[in-house]
Amino acid sequence: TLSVSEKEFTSKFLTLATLNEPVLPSNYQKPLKDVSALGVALPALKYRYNPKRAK
Amino acid sequence: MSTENKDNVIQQKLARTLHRFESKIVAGDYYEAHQTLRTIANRYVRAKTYELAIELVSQGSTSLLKAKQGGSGTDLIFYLLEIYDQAEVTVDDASIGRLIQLLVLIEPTEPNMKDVITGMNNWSVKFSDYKFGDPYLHNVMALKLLEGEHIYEAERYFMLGTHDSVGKYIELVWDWFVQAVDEDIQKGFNTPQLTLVGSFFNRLIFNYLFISNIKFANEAKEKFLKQYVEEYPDVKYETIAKRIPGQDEDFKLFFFNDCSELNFLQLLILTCQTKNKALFQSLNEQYKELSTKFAPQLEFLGQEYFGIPAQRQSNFLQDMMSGLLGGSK
Repeated sequence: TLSVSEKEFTSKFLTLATLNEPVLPSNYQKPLKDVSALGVALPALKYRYNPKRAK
Repeated sequence: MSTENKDNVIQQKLARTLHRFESKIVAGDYYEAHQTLRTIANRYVRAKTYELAIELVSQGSTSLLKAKQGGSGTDLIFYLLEIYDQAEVTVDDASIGRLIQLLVLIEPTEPNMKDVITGMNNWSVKFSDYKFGDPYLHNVMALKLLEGEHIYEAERYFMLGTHDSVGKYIELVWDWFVQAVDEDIQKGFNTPQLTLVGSFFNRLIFNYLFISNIKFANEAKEKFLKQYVEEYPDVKYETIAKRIPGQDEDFKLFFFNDCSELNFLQLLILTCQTKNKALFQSLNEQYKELSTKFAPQLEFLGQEYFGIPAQRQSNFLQDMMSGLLGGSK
């Protein structure tokens, strides 16, 4: 089977994903009072951050 | 004696105590000042006149911190939190404000700082409806932790902060990314931004999607990627705008020729909004490598938005118990 190019996939995907009104609007925020899980811890990056170097 | 008079007398006493305390601080008698104040505050606590104890201890801590006496200053913050706990002080503008004022005065290099922050947050968890603590407090804590170079802790508190925190979190991730690019350029790599950008951008997107904050995920997407294409003009991209039914604004996708990770993450936000399981599976199917790389993150999102049960490694004890109890699982 021929794999679909990423560009083609994206275009089709966007069409499908925007057929209907989304369940969660683009400005949806679950109130923090209702948040009971934080997801998974993201892996640490191998780059150090130096706050003194930041603009 | 009328109540008003009695209150006056108490206020005068408190003022005198604080005055004596201040003179000792000025004279450099920190130890004595600290001990005396604790003794008097103890008396107030035993008499359950918590308001006075709170006033005395927080002012005492303020003076010590201003005099760069981090150890004694933070000791009094811990004591203040004990009083808060005992007096069952709930989270409101005044109780939070007092802690924020103290927090701001702590030196970022103060060894107790992380513990103070944990103590404050624990109090706000216990005496508010926020399971992870108060968002306003988080915003200040994150800034303080950042100054003290506790980056991952700062990140966590930004994520659970206010709208003000979003801009600061994006700024942190951006600055961190720029520093990483510089570091790699110095090592002789060509265009390291292309390989690095995803690993920074994904933190913003995953963290906000985890707590179902679509608004902040979209905001982070927009701001971070806009800055990326502006400051790295060699990056090849095109924008695709798509009208979303029922929404005021289009979904804007920055399509990158050389970075699938950025494309995938943007599509992921929209997919979470739809809560459409088939779309989620098709996205994962198309980006197999990334869905393997982000397996734990996507498993959580699968559960949260699409009702896909997590395929946890079987828990022997739990399986045995459910077997004994006649469970069908």
